[in-house]
Amino acid sequence: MIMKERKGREKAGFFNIHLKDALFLGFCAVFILIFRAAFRLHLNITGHSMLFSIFFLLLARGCISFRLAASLTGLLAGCMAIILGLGKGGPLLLLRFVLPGLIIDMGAFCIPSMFRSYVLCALAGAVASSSKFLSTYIVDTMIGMEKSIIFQHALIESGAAILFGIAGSFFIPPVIRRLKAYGVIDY
Amino acid sequence: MRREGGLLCNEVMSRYPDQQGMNIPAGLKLLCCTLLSICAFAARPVWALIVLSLINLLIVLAFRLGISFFKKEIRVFIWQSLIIMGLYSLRFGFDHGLLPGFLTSWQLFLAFVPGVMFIQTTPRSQVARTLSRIMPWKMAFVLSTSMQFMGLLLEEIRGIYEAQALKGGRILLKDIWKPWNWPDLVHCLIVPGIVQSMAVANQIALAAKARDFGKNNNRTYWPGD
Amino acid sequence: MRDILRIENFSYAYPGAERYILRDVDMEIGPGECHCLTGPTGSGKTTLLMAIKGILPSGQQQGKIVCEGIKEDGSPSAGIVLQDPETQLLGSTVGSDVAFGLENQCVDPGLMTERVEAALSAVGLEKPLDFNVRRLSMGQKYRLILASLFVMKPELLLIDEPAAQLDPEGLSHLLELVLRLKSSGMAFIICEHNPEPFYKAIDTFWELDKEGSISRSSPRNAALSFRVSETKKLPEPDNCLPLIHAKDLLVEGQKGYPIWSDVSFDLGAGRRMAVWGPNGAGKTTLLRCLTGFLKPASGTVEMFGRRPEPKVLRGRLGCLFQNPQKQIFETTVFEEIAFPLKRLRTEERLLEKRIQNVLELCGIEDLVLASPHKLSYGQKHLVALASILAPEPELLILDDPFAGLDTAYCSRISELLVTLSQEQGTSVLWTVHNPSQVSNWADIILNAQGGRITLQ
Repeated sequence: MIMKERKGREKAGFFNIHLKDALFLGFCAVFILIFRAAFRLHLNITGHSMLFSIFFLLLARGCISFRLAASLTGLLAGCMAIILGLGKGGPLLLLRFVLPGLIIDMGAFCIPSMFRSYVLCALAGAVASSSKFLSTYIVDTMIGMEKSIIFQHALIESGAAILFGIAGSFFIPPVIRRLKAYGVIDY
Repeated sequence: MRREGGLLCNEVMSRYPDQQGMNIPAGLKLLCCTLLSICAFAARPVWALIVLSLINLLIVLAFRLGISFFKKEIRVFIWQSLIIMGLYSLRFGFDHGLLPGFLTSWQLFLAFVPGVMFIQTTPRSQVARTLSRIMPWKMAFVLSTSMQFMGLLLEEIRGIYEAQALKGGRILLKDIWKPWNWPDLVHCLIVPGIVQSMAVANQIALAAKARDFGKNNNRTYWPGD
Repeated sequence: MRDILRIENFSYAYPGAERYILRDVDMEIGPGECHCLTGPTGSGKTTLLMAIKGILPSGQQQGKIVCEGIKEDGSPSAGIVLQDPETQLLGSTVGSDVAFGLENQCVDPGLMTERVEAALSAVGLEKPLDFNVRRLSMGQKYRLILASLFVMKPELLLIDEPAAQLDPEGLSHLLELVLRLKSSGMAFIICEHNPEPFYKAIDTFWELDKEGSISRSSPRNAALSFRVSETKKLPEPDNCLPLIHAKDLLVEGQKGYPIWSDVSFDLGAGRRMAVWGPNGAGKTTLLRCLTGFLKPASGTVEMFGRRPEPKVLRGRLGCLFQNPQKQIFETTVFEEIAFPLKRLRTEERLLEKRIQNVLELCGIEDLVLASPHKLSYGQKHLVALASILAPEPELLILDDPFAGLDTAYCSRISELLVTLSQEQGTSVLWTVHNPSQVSNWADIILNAQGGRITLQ
C-alpha cells in the first residue's frame, strides 16, 4: 500500500482539540491544584486559591486557540480535585472550577485580544472570580436562606477571592507577550 | 530524568492519603451521596435535619472515618455557623436571628458533607475509574496522564529555577516577595516553565500517537488495574 | 526478497517552515536488516523516523513511503522509540504501560495478559506486571518501551539516539536484543551520532546532510571520534584553597534512602574533573549539592572556601544543567548573554566587550541579534554556554554537556573548555553517562556507581 501526501493525524477528536493542547490544559489544571494546596499547607491564606485558578485558566485560554480551553481546564481541575479529595464540597467542586472557566471563555469569545491588556485581563479575572459569589448565592437560595442575608454571605465568601483573582490576572499580558515573541503561540 | 517526583507534588499527595473503603461500587456510593445532598436542600423542618444528621452519622461510623474527619468537618461547620449566625443576628437581632442562622448553617453543612464522605471513603483509583466511565475516554486519558506526569514536569521546572537562579535571576524565595523582582520571575521562570510544559505535552502526545492512540473510536482497558 | 519499507523521493517541510527539512529521500529496508542513520544535529533524522511512523504534523509533503507490513488503517507496521524515554512511559505499572498499545488497538482484555508477558519476555525484562515504572533503571525503562512496541507486532522498529540515554551496559543489552530480533526477521532503523556500540548489528549506514539529502555512508564517517587536541596537564598549584572541597558527603533521597555516601574529593584552580556513571547514579544530585540547592544529610561541602549558597556563587560559578536550551528566555542572543552581566551590575562599556569576547570564543558572532528560540539545537547549546561564560567564572559545572550533540558540536565545545581551562585557568567539572566522553583531558575522574562516588 502506498502512502501519498499523508497528512498527520492532527486532532484528537473530542471537541476538535489537538492531543498535545489537551495535555497542556491538563497540566494547567494540575498546576492549579498543586499551587492551591501548597499555599494552603504552608501559608494558610484563605481566598488565595483564586490567584492560581484565574492565572492558569487565563493562561490556558490565552495559549490554546480552542473556544472552551478554560472551561475544559476547569473541568479537568475539578475532576482531579474530586479524585484527590482536595477542597470541600465533594462533586460540587466541579462547579467551582468550571464556572470561572466558562466566564473566561465567554470573555475571550467576545474580545479575542483581551490577553494583551492588563485592564481586560483584570476585568475577566474579577468576573470569573465572582463566580464564587454566584455559586454561593445559588446554593444559599436553594437552602432557603433569608433573602436579605444571601447577598452579604455570598460577598463575604467571595470578596477575598475576587481580589486574588484580579492579582492572578496581572501576570497574563507579559507572559502571553513573551510567548508570542518566542513564536510558541501564534494568535 | 523522572526522579521520585517533585517534592511539592509528593508533599501535597501525602497530606491527602488514599482511603480504603468498604467494598461498595463507587457509582452506587456517588448516587447515595448525591441523594443525601439533594435531601439536605429540601430539609427545612428541624426533624428533617435531625433525621439527615443521624443518617450521615451512621455512614461515618459504618465507614470508620475517624476522629480527624470529625475534627476537620466540625471546624468548617463552626466557622460557617459563626458567619451565618452573625449575619442573621445583624439583620434580625440576637434573639430572633440566632436560631434561624444556626438551622440554615446546619442545612448547608448537611448539603456538602455527603460529597466529602464519598471522596474520603473511595479509593482514588476507583474514583478515577468511575469518572472515566462517565467522561469521554480521551478526556479520561488526558486527566490521568496529566496527573501522572506532574512529577516529571515539576522536576523540569525545578531545573530551570536552579539554573536561572545561578545565572543571576532574582527568583530565590527571598526575592520573589518583592514586586520589583516579578519581571525576573515572569521572564526567567514562568515563561520558560510554560514553554517546557508545552514541549513535554507535545512529547507525550507523540508517544501516545506512536502507539496508535486515537486511531480507533474506542479503546479497551488493561485488566490489571 | 520483498522490502519492508521503501521510501521514494520523499520531501517534507514543517508547517510554516520556509525550507524543506528532508529532500528527495530514497531508502529501502528488507526484513531482518538493521540500518543506521547518521547526520549532523538538525539534519532531519528524527523527522524521517516520524515520517515513516506517520506521526508528522501536516506540512508540505511529496513523494512516497511504501510499506509492506501495513495495517488496516494504512499506517505502516512500525514502532518508534523517541529520544526521551521518560515521556514515553504512559502507564504507571509495567503491565499497563506495555498494554497501552493493545488498549488503543481494542484488543480483548482477556488476551492482553498473555501478550504482555510474551513481549516482556522477548525483551528480557523480568518484572511483575504491577511493578511501578518509576522504580526501573534507565536501561530497564528502555526495554519496557521496546516491549510496549513489540507487543503491537511491528515489522520495523525505529530507534532514535539510544546512546544519548543509555550507558555502556544498557547499550550492550540493546545490541543483544537487536541481534536476536533481527534473526527473527524484524528490521531496524537506528538514528545515532555514535553508532559504534551497534556495529555488529548494522548492515547499512546512511547519512543525512544539512540540506536534508540522504546518501549511503561508511562506518568510519559515522563514528563519533571527537578527541581534543593535545592538552597539557597543569601542575597542581601549591597551598591553594580548593575551589570545591567535599568530605564524607552523604545525600539521602526521599524516605531517607541514601543516594550515595562517603564522597570526598577536592578540585583546585585550573583543574578538570569528569564524573561519569550510568543514568540514575546521582551525578545531577551531586551537582545540586555543590551548588547549594540540596543539603547533604551529613558531611561537608565547601565552594570557594564556604558553604555553597546560590546567591554567593553567582559570578564565580557558571553552571549548565541538562538540556540547557530550555533555560533560554531572552528575545535575542545579545540579551541572553548580557543577562547575567546585568545582574552582576557590570559596567556598560565592559559589558559589551565581554559579550563580544564570549561570542568570538564560542564562534557565534553572526548570531548576536538572532532570536535564540529559532536557532538549531547545537546553536542553542552554544548560546546557553556563552551566557554562563560571559561573567568569566572561576569554575564551570556542566551536566552532560555533550548529550544529543553531533561530533562537530562536541568537538567545538570540548576545544572551548580546554581553551578556558588552559588559558584562563578556569576549573571545569562535567558529568557524562558514557565513559568515552570522559576524554583525555580530565585531570581527575570520579566514578558514580552503586551508591558510591569514588576516585578512578
